[in-house]
Amino acid sequence: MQRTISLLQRILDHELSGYIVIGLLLRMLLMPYFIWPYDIGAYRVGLVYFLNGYDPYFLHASIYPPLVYFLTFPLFTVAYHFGFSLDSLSVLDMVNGNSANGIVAYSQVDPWFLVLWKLPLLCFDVLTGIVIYSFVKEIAVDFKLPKRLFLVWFFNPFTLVISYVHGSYDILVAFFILLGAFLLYRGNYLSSGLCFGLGTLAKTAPIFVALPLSVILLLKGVGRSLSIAILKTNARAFLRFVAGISVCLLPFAPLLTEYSSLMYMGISREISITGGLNQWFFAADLQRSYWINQYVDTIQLVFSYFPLICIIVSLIFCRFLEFGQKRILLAVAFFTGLIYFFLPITLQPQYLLWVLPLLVVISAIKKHFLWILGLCSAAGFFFYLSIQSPRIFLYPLAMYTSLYKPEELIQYVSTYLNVPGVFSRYLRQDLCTLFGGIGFVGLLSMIILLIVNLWVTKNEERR
Amino acid sequence: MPAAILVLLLLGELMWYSAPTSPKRGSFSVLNVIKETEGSKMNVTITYQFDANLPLDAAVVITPVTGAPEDMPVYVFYDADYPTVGTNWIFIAMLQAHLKAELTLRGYNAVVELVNAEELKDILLAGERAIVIMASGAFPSNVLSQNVNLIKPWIDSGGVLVWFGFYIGYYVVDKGMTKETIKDDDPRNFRENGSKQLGLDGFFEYQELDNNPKVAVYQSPISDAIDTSYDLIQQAPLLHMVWANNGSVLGKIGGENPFRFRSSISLIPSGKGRIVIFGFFLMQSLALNGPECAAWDIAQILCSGVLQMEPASIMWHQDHRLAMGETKMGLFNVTVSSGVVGLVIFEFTYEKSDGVLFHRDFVSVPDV
Repeated sequence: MQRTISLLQRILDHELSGYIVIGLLLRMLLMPYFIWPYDIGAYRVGLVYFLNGYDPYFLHASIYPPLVYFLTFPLFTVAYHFGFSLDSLSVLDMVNGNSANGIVAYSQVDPWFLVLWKLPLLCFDVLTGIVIYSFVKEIAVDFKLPKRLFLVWFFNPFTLVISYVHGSYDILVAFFILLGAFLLYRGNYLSSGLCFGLGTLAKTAPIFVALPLSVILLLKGVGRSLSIAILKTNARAFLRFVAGISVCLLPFAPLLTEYSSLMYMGISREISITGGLNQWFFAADLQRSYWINQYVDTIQLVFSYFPLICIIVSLIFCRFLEFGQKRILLAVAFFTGLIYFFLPITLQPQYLLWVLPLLVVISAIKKHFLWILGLCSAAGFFFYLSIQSPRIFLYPLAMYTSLYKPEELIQYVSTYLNVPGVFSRYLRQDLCTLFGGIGFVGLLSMIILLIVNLWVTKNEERR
Repeated sequence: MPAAILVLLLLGELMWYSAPTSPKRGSFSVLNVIKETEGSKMNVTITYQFDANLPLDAAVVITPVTGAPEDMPVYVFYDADYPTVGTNWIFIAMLQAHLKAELTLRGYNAVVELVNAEELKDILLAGERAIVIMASGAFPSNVLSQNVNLIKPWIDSGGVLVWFGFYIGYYVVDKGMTKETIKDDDPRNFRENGSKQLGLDGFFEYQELDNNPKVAVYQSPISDAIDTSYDLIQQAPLLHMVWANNGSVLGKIGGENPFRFRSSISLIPSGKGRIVIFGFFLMQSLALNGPECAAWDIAQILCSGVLQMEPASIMWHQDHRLAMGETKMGLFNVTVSSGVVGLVIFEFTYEKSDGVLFHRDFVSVPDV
């Protein structure tokens, strides 16, 4: 008892405890009444089939890897025993927005579903903050920095919007990449491998970070001075790292295989460009998607070589750079950033979250990364609000409280979608292009700065 | 920490796969069917039972049919060597994938495959009894052109054509063409005469698309019974023409006045076959009228027996709401007239339901 009280006392006295309580209250306020209507239907359908014992991939009912279902399945199963039901979902109406080409769907779900769905996100979000705090504490000289950077993460409006308004679980990917980097920094290769494996069960991106990292672990220092001792140490680190990944992936191999073939089928037919990165890079004019589809074969060829490109880059790194702890951290951020330029057919703004915690941590050693963080966060945040207007997120609030009327929201969103633009046909396209462009500049600057810092760190080490 | 998360996940996996804790689906069974002749009619009493393991929002539909239902192979036209008109091949690939899944759930026992233009031609030439879904907005010229019409004879011999998009037969495309090379005044196109090639003269109102009604809002009895939700009607056939030709309304109804009413999904008989017309294109994935929604609607149409139903017939349906763990019985007392060879008993759960449960049965009715 005495011990518990003393532990509680220590937790309450911690410099973060007050902020965590405020942050939790803010998050709990957002959880039940905000959704991104376009995705919530997909979350729900995959979960329903899973709860009924069906393989959601065989039924093409899910485009998400299995981790999220194994996390939420026990949670929802318990909730059913307390009288919970998902059945309040309804599709209200479709806005006749010419600029949106019929993409606006208003799926409604019970606030309790939203709370349960977002509960794991809350856990991983808080854990991410704690890992950032611990990581910065290890690498920063300034003792005030850990708290400051924790706050930068914990109250970043963009990260709040992604997890608690959108309900997207990209926070899991961000957490596992960050924790993997932290453990790699500490030289705990097996646990780091576990993190990248778990991240791959949440979304495929982390495996494309782990691949070049494993090459670096195996070959670091080899280009500079080849010795059996280095090779032995490297091989041990490499095997631990790969074993960690394999331990995570093997038990889920049947579902993962189905998921992969489903994804392959999805991307191998035709690139559909109606949002995300493609909108960012090629402007919001949907007609331009036809142009890109003419070169679909070339684009897919380049995409398919992405793992090879990563391996070549990591070999170059091994040849010219000496990998200490900090450079490993920069390399993790670099390979995560590279994904945005190669891998996703449609790069959604929420994917930006994967790299943000790393940028927060790196800013403890290189302050200018805070600017990149701000640029990407602001671009992502305003891009989100511009897609279908900020009021698109308010449907549960309108359905389940008296603050808004659903009809008013439909009217407002319809009007917004049809507002003429200055440079393109519709205002929403202008805004998405603008904020997408800013996001693109942010990502490009991040890659350039990371390369520069990887090299600068080398020079410093030489001196 | 990662090891602890992994253990948590493995526990979740163990729960999902292992028998004591794995999810149970509930069940539906037909308990009893009693047939009694009364003059030229027959009274049929059907008793059924549900067991719910998760909360269920379900419906049971009884469809009187004039021919025994048949699980015909389903072919979805997909050929990237041809251009789509007003849509995108990826939506069509998604439609096939989702339709296959929806039909598997309903126990539909036939293939659901993508076919290219050459394979389509072979199917039509062989007169194969099948369902062909064309959602690309145009016919490939090897099956319908100024010199060839393999579509109409195939439908008349018993095929079922499901059509999405532009007015049926309006555009004809050649192999190697691109979206950019499609021109409205291209001599290849039948334009307004296209519907005549399919025997649908007078079914469509050709005018500026923006002048056409866009969305249907009124439920029809069949859309209410089998829960079809596709609601676009911008290029749908006129309702009075569908009815005048012994057709049925499978979707919703909309339009400005009764003479211009249209249905979002129309069923038009042609010879021994059927044409099912959706009133517009497939929309974006995960949105209303997207491939998932259309796949659901097609699966409901194929499994509920409406393709074999007489146009003037009545469908019976009952809705049920079951709590978790609840068992419930239901009863239908229906009267069928001569010409009906049997009843399709189709049970399905609505999309909003927590539990997923489908069941199909066929009860033959002796000739009265």
